[in-house]
Amino acid sequence: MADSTSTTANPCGDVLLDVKGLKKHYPIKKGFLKRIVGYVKAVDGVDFTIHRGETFGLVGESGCGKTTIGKSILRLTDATGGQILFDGKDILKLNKEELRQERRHMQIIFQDPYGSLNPRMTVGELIGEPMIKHRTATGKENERRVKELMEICDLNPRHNKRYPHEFSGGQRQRVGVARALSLNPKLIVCDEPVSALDVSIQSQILNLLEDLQKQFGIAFLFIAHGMAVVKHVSSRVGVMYLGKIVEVAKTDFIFDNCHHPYTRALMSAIPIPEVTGKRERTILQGEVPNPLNPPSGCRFHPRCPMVMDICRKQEPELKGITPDHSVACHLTSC
Amino acid sequence: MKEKLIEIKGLKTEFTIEGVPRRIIDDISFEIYRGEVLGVVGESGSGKSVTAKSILRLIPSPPGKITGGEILFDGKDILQMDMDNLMKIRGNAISMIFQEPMSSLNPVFTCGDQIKEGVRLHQNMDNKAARQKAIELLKMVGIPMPEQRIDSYPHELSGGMRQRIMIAMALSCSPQLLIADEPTTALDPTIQAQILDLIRKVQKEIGMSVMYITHDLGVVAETCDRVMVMYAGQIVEKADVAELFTKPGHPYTQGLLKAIPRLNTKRERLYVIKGMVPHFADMPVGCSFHPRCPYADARCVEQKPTLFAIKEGHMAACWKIQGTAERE
Repeated sequence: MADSTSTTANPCGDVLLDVKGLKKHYPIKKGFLKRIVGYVKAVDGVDFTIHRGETFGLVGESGCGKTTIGKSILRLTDATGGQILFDGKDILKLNKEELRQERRHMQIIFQDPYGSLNPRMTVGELIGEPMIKHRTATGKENERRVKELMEICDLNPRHNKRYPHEFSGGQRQRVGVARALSLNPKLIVCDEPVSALDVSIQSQILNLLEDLQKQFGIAFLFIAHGMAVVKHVSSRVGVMYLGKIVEVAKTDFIFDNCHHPYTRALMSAIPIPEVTGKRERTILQGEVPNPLNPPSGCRFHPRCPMVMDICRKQEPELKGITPDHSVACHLTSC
Repeated sequence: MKEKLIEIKGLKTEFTIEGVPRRIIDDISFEIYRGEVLGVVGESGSGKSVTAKSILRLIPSPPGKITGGEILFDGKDILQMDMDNLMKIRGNAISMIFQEPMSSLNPVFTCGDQIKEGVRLHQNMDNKAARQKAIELLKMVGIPMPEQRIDSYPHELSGGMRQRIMIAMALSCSPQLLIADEPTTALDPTIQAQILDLIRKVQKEIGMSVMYITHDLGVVAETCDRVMVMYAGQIVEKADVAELFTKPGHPYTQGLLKAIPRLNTKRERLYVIKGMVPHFADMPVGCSFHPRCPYADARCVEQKPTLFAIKEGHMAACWKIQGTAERE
């Protein structure tokens, strides 16, 4: 959402979130003694950074670990290894009270606007709750803030006594956004915020997020599987495959000049709503492998149309080909 | 001239919700020609799926009821048929695939059993021949090791594989019409591309017609020959794919096309269709799109527009378009 000029103006020193070697392994327990028989490596060594006020998009297919990354950053799930530096502090090392303080600055918006709002609370209570928990606004002040937030998010402030079921999907998502905004966060993790919405409602929410970013300078980690949506909102994009980031670049680079064969296939798989001429398509064979038992070497090699011998043996590292563009593929590194 | 395979005339479907009958499908007429892919687009609640289910009389009754219209298939009205004749058409001449491959397969039978069921019923095959046929079908839809996979249960397969099984079942009796209700919406992009490719391939191979329901305009552009756009239980626009995407007539279609983020254009602010799809209990009078339409005037608020031919093969239900055309 931050246009490209503002990101180039951002010096590299202005990093808000720096994720280094993040790992999340879920143990698989079997039998009477619940012995650990293996690990699902949902996220297996991921590095990326988000600058202040920028939108970093994370794309990939289901099961590639995008949501797990989002949850690890807020410590809604405990990471197995790595570092998450938020404003210079390692989130993974904070104690309970420090974490509570830090969480004020980071919020999350979920995919499902139906499941993520408590049906027994009014919309006013839902939006006001974080401010009460963090004691930033209580009583009359809280009420005033709630109404202000509802107005910012294009909700009718007079509806603050209504319950979530009285709202449509798009409006509920606005409630989720208002709630996330209530503590003036520096970072909002948007986990597929528009995937469950209809086309005409999608554009309303995307524009709202764009406005909020301009107005309050919030950074977004925007997780989605819709490539077009990610391209529209992000200034930089990371493409994930099976727990790893395979390519990171500025949005324009990745869409015009992607290097990783997976990114290319993902891009060509997206149907384009236009009828001018047929595109050349790369249709991938097979499916995303089970993360319990990922393939040797490069994780993408069994589906890769350009697989080489080295891909089966050695895992490629994420290497910069230009300062703004990194790829994990043997094709580009040799 | 192309030959009509099925013709729907003035279909009306009602659902009784909280004791009040509500018209969900409001007098729609369209036709599907032999060998074409007709796309049906619209947002949730626009009546796409109810239309599809009405064609096969799969509307649960109560609360649903088809209250009027004709569905002429091969000259016979499906709505007037007795159960025996209807059963001969369902799954045989007309078959359907659904959005959710998990909940539309029976978890306690193997995939093979479920494919064989249709073949044995409609084609009088014995078990052995049916099994052979099922293996062939699995091969056709691109399932690796069909001899082994035929004995798997649905939970042992991935979403993409399950959708292939559904397609194999739907194709088992070489239908003349395949109704595909959002068959790829629940799938990942790379798997969606595989399934779309498969549907196109078999459609050409056996020359069937497809009614393809989706909310994804990208899928429509790449798969369909003709499109109809639905809004609030009505058809608001019908056209050839190329025509619809280059010269959309109805303000709703225009809005939809402008509201989607594109992969291949520079970033700019998205167009917004204000408001939301009307609730069935609170349908606006006149044109059902008028509260959201930037061009609405007094006539749109009072009178309901009907489909008007802008040119041959392109129709839209909009007073503004009709007015301009009539003035010229």
